[in-house]
Amino acid sequence: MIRGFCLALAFLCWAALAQAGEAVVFEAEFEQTRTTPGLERPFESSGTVRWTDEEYLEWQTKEPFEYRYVLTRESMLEELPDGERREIRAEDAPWVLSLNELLMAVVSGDKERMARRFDIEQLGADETDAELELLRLTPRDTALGEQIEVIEVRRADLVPRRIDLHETDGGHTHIRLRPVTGADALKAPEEDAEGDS
Amino acid sequence: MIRTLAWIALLAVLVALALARTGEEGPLDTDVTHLLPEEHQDPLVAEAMSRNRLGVSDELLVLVRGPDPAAREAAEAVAGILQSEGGVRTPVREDTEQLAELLEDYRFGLLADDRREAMRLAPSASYLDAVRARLARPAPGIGLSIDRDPAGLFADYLTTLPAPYPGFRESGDLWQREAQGETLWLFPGQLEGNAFAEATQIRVTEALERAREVAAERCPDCLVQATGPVRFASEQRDRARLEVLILSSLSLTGILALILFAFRSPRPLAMGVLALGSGVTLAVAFSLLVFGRLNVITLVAGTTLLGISIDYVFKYLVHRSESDDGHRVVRGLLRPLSLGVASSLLALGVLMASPFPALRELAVYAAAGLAGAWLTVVLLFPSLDRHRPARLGEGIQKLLGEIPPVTGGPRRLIPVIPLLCIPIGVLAFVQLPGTDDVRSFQSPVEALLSEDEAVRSATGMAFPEGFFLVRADDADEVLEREAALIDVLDQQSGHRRSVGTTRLIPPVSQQREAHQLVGEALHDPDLIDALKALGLGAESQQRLREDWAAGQDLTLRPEVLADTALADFLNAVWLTVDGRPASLVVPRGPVPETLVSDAGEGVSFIRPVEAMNQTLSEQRAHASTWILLAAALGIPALFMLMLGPRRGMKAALAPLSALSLTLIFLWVSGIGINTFVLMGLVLGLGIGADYAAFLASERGTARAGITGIGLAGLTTLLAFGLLGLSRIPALQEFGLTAAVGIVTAWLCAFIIARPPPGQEMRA
Repeated sequence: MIRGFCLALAFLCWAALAQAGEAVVFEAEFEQTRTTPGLERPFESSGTVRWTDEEYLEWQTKEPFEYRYVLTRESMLEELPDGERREIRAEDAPWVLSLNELLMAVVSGDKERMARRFDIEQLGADETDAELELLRLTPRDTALGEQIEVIEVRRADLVPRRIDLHETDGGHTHIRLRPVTGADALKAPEEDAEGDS
Repeated sequence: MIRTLAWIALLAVLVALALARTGEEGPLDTDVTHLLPEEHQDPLVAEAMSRNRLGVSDELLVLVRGPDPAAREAAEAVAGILQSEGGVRTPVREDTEQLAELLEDYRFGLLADDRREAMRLAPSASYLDAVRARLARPAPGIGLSIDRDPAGLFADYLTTLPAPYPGFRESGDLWQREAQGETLWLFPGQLEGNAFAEATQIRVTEALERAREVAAERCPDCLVQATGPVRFASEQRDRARLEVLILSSLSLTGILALILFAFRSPRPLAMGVLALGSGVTLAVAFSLLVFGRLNVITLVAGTTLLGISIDYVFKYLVHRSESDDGHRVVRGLLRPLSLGVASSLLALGVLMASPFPALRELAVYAAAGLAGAWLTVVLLFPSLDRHRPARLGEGIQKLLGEIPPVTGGPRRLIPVIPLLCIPIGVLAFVQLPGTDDVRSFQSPVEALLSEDEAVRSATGMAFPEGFFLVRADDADEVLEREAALIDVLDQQSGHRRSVGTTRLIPPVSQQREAHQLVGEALHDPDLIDALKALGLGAESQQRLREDWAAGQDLTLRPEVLADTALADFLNAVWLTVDGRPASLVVPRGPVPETLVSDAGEGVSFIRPVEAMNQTLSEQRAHASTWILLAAALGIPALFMLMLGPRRGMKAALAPLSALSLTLIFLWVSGIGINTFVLMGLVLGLGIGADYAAFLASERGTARAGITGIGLAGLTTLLAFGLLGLSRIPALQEFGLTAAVGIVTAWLCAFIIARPPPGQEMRA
């Protein structure tokens, strides 16, 4: 379940800012660096991420090997490097549902739901790059808090650029995103919303 | 006077002894399940049914559906009220962290099904893929760190364990899922008390009512639905109580009106109450002495059976209306009264030997009560009743007392009646279909059924109609057979909802295979190099191989987890009786008939209700055979002993013919025979023997005596026949049988047992 939450959090940065509206298609290139206790050196990977509407999330690793991870309302699907497929149905594994619920809440723009799981701090401009705005998400849920210490999201023009996920066991995942399509679609509703408030 | 004092002293001593025996729990037992038959089959089956019953009967599912966040608030309020006021707790569940701690040492033998399949084909390649996936996945895995479980195999095993409420995710004490624009919040509760105990039912019902009110305040658009055996049991209890109140009021009003109309005096009424009251007192005291506690069902049904004793009162009263000396009346009535009581006790005595607790308790209670009423009439009435006798009204005598005896030509045909009735009655008895069903205590409750259907279809928690019992000579083989069964169930149902031990503890062969496959991978030089390339150093890998080697002799078995947080789960699905292991598999959905009839070696599908009905049926068949034998042999023997061979045999044919006619009615009407019908038959037989004994031994079969029998018949009909109007099948069938039994007993007694004019017995 926690794994599902963590996956969702990786996209929280931009999805959180999207308000209810038209179906959104977002695509970005990513570079991920994972530092994990037990590993002698960080593991680096890169690929693309795609998110469609409220239904579909796809994480595709291209380097150093092919790997695909797809999340829908009904299931979680993995395609392993040798082509083996693993599917876990939401009916059988509640954590897939947890993830879905979180994503759907995010997509719907329901900040009230998100606020139940995280304390969200808007920390202003990033120290290293003044063009980036820093958001800090702290899990409220005890189970989630046992795995994740904090998530930092850096965004520019309301579009996420960097995500740092700090785990309680000392692990750290750093994700850099370069939007390819859909950034405007994400940006517009939030700007409208902020303009309203 | 001495007799009176002796009777009162006996009653007092018995009551004192009974009270002394009563424990802290009090004399009344409200748990109807204590009356159900003990399982007489295989003790393993009995224990499995008991575990299954416990697991199923204490479930309470409450569903709150509506728009969030109000629905969540309402659901939290509902759960809080049920927990604090309703004695409902959240089932103990282990979170993933706890499970991981408990099972960590066994982890190399625990693989998710799809992982095991993949590793069978290529252990090292599959392992390496899993490691890569763990690293590439956009989130860290749960469970152990990467150096202790690089491929995340243990985490996969833990996260793919079946969810208890499919489609729902856990959120504190609640489970939640979205559906068609609303949120469903499920509170799966477990009763702390017995669902069939009145105190539990009241507590839960009141808490649920309050919870609904609070939920309506918090979320006006929400719908709160609840289901569980406790709700049905509670509703049935309320309905039965209301019905019994209505029918008893009607019956009591009718009986009071009849007595006042017959005697035009309240004194007979007081005497009737005294006799019945003494009978009930003796019955309660004696039952408490024998059983320790008295079930409320026994109290109600047994007191109903004591209605037979009103016969004794009427016989005394109608004869007393023609005599100024109560003692003389009793002396004259001693033989017919004693014969009537003896034949009733004979029939009840047979029931006392029944292994069915309900019948046994009922028989002891009714026998003691009848004896108590009889002793009151014989010992107490003459001393207390010293006033001018209450005269029988002319109207009632004309109505009930002027029945002419059968004389002339028709009298010669009387022997034909038993000759025809008894053989056909025996045939009917042999042909009667058994209709025993424990559910006949219940009348359908449509509103609850539809609420139950709504909750269960929303949660996917179909009420299991039965369970599979898996047996083998040793525990390992039980797990093997269970795993094979669960595989078939999963394939046929398309989901993984059935509950069983192997969901958590794979068969030993699978654990050994998993351990072997992982070991093969960890020792593969190519994999060692690949892992090193990914950043897993040689030292880490060496430690991993040492851990694997240390787990080589470890096998996860049910007994290993017996004293852990998983004990509750295991207790519901794993059992050992007399050293024989077995497991229960509870399907949460329809079970194909093919699987029910043949689920594999050592596996049987058990439907508890059917099994209970089968036990009921066997015990009822046993009891009814004995009752018929007692009737066929005991009643003629008793009658011949007390009335002489010729007259006694002739009189005995009356209750036997009445019994036969009632059996024919049950056959023709399709009611069949069951435990409750049997009670009606015993009642009819007792009354029939009573009437026949009275008429055959009555001095002169006077108009008053005949009126007395008519009065007794009418009051018994009012007391029992009205139960034929009940909506509860068991009571309805009992009432109908009793009504037919009483009418045929009355008719047969007059036609067969009544001596022709001039041949009445001299006292």
